[in-house]
Amino acid sequence: MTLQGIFETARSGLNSTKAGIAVAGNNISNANTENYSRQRVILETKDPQLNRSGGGFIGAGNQISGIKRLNNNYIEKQINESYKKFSNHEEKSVFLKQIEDVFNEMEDGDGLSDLMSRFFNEFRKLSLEPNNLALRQSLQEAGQSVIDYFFRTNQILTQIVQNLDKKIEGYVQNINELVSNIINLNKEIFRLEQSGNGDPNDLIDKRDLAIKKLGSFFDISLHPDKSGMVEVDLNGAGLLLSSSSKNEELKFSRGAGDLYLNGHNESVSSLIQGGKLGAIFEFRNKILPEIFEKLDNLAFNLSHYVNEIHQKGVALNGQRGICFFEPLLKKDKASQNINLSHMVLSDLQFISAALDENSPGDNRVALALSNLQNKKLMGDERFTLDEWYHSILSDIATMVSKNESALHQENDMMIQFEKIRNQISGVSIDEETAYLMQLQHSFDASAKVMQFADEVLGTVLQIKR
Amino acid sequence: MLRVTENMNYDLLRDNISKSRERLGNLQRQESTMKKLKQPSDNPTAAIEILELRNEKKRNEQYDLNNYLVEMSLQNLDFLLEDLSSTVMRLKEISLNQSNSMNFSSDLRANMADEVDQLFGSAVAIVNRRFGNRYLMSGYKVETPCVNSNGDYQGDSGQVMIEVSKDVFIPINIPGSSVFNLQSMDQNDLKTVNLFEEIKKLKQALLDGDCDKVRGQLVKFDQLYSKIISVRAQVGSRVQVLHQISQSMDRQRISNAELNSQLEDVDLAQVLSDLNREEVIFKNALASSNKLVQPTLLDFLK
Repeated sequence: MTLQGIFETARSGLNSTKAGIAVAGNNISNANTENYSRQRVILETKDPQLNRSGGGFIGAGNQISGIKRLNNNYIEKQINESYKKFSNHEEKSVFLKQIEDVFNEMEDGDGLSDLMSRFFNEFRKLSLEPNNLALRQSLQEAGQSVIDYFFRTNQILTQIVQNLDKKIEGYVQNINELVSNIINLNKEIFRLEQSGNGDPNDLIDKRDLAIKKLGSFFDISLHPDKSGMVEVDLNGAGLLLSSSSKNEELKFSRGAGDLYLNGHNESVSSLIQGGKLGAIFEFRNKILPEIFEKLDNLAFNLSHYVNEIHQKGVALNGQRGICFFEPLLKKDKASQNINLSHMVLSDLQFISAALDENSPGDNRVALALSNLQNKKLMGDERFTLDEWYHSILSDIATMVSKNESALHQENDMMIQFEKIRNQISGVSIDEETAYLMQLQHSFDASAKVMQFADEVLGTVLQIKR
Repeated sequence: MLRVTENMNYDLLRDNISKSRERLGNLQRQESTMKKLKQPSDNPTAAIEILELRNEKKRNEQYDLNNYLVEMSLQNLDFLLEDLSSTVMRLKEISLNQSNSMNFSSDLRANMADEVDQLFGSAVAIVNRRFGNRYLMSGYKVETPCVNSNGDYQGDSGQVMIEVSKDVFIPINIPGSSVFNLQSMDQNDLKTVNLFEEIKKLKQALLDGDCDKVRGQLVKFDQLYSKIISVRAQVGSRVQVLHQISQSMDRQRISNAELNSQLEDVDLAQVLSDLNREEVIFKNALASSNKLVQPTLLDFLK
C-alpha cells in the first residue's frame, strides 16, 4: 500500500458520498413528482490490494455499483389495474349522470310519466262529455306534449352521442401522443442501457407513468423484451407499439363510431374494453342504443294501440277509421317519428270517442282508450306503458347507483395501493435529511483521512531537507 | 418497519376532507329540500315507487272529479224518477176514481181528461230534463230530447258509463225506453206497454166514458209505477256503490300519502343530528391536519 493509495481510498469515499448527496438531493426535489420512485446509491468495496510490506490484503476504498430504484413491480401492476377501473367508472359516471338528469322526474314536472298520465286522463275527461270541443282541444294538446317530449329526449340523446364522438376524438389524440411518447422513451432507455451503465431510473419511471396513463384508456397488455423495451398490445387487436418502434396510430371515424388502427381496415371498437375509452364505447354502443330502443318501443306501441282503438271509433262528423297518431311503419326511430295524424291536427272533430254514429253521448271508445293506461301492452304483454317507461328510469338509476358505488370502492382501493406504493417508493423528507447528515459526516471523515495522508506525505517530503 | 412519507399524510388528509365535505353537502341538501331523494339513483326502487304513486294520485284526482259528476247526474236522475213516479201515481188515482161510473158526471170526466192531458205534457217535460246540456234519458243521443211532443222515444238504448275508480264503471244515465216501456203478458200475448200511449188511451177512455177501459188502464199504470220504482231503486244502489268507492278511495289516498312520505320525505330530526355530527367530524379533520403536517427534521438543523 502506497501513500498515494491512501489518497485514492479517501477520494473514493468522497466520490461516493458526493454521489449519495446528489441522489438524496434528487429524491428531495422529486418528492412530489408523480410516479417517482426514490433512488439509492449502492456501494461496494473496491478490490483489495496486496500489501507489499507483507501481511495480506488491504482494502482500497469503495465504489458505486449502481443506483437503484426502490419499487415493487407487483404493486405498480395493481395500481395500473385499479387506475384503469377507476377511470372507467369515473368516465361512465359523467355520462350516466347526464342521462339520469335527462330522465329525472323526481322533482314534480313534465317528465314523460306525468305527460302520459295527463294524456290518458284527458281521455277520461272526454268520456264525461265526448262532444265537448274544449275537452278535445286539451286532449290534442296533451297528445302533442307527449310527442314533444319524445322529440326533445331524442334530440338530447343525439346531442350526447355527438359530444361523445368529440370526446373520443380528443382521447384518441391523447392516446396517440402517449404512444409516441412511450416509443421515444423506449428508444432512449434502450440507448442508455446499451452503454452498460445500469438502468436509467428516471426514464423508466417516466415510461411507467406513460403506460399507466395509456392503460387508463383501455385494456392493454405489456410485453417487456430483453433489451429493456416494452411492447404494448391492444387486447389482441395488434401492436400499438413494438420494439421495432413502428408507430401505430389510432383513427376514429365519426358516425359509425368505429376505431381503426392505422393501416388496418378492420374496426377495433369491439376490442376496446375497460378504461375511459371502454366506458365511452360501452355507453355509446350499448347503453344508449338500449335506451333508444326502449323509447322507440314505447312510442311505437303507444301510437299503435291508440290508433287500433281510435280507428274503430267514429268521429263527430260520422267518419270512421281515423288514426289518432300518424301510423308508424317500423319501430326503429319511432320515438323520433311519432306525430299526431294530420286529420286530428287539422280538425278536433276527427277525434273519435264514440262507437255508434250520431251518438254524441257515446263515450265507449274514449273509455277504451283511457283504459289503455292499465293494459299490459309492452314487452310481451308483461308491462303497462307506465311500467315500461319506469323500467327505463329504473335501469338508468340502478346503473348510476351501481357505478357510483363501484367508483367509490375503486377510489378507496386506489388510495390504498398508492399508500402501499408510497411506503415503498415514496420520498420521505426526514429520511433523506437524516441520510444527508450521515453523508455529511462521512464526507468530513473522508476529507480528514485525505488531510491526514497529506500531512504524512509532508512529513515524508521533509526528510530530504 | 412501516415507512410513512409526507405524501401519504397529505393524501389521507385530502381524502378525509373531501369525503367529509361530500357527506356534509348531501345532508345539507336533504335539510334544505326536505327530500331524501334528489335523483332516482339515490334509491332506484323507492324512486320508481314514488313515480307510480304519483301517477296513481293523478289518476285518482280525475276519478274524484268523475265521482262528483256521476253523483250529481244520478241525483238528477233520481229527482226525475221521483217526479215521474208521482205523475204516474196521480194517473193511477184518476183511473181508480173514474173506474166507477156511478159517481161522476160526464163534465167531471171531461175535466179529468183535461188533467190527464196536462199530465201527459208534464211527463214529456220530466223525461226531457237535462243535466248540464245533456238529456238524461236519451241514451247516447244526449243532444236529442228523450221524447217528442207526441211521446215517441227519440233516444237509443246506450248506457253512458263513467270510470269512477280503476276498472269500475258506473252508468250515469238510464235510457228512457227502459223506464216507460215494459213488456206485459196480455192474454198469452207479449205486449209492450208504453207510458205515453197508455196516458193517451186513458184520456180517450175518459172522453168516451168507457169505465171498463179506464179500469183496464189502472192495471197498466200500476205496472208502470212499479217499473219506475224499481228503476229508482237501481239508481239508489248505484249511488250507494259510488259512496263505497269514494270511501275506499279516501282510505287509499291516505295510505298512499303515508307511503309516499315514508319513501320521499326526510326525518328532520335525524338529518339535523347527522348534520351536527358531520360538522364536528369535518372541523376535527381540519384541526387535526395541523398535527398531521408536523415539523420536519429540517426545522431542527440550524
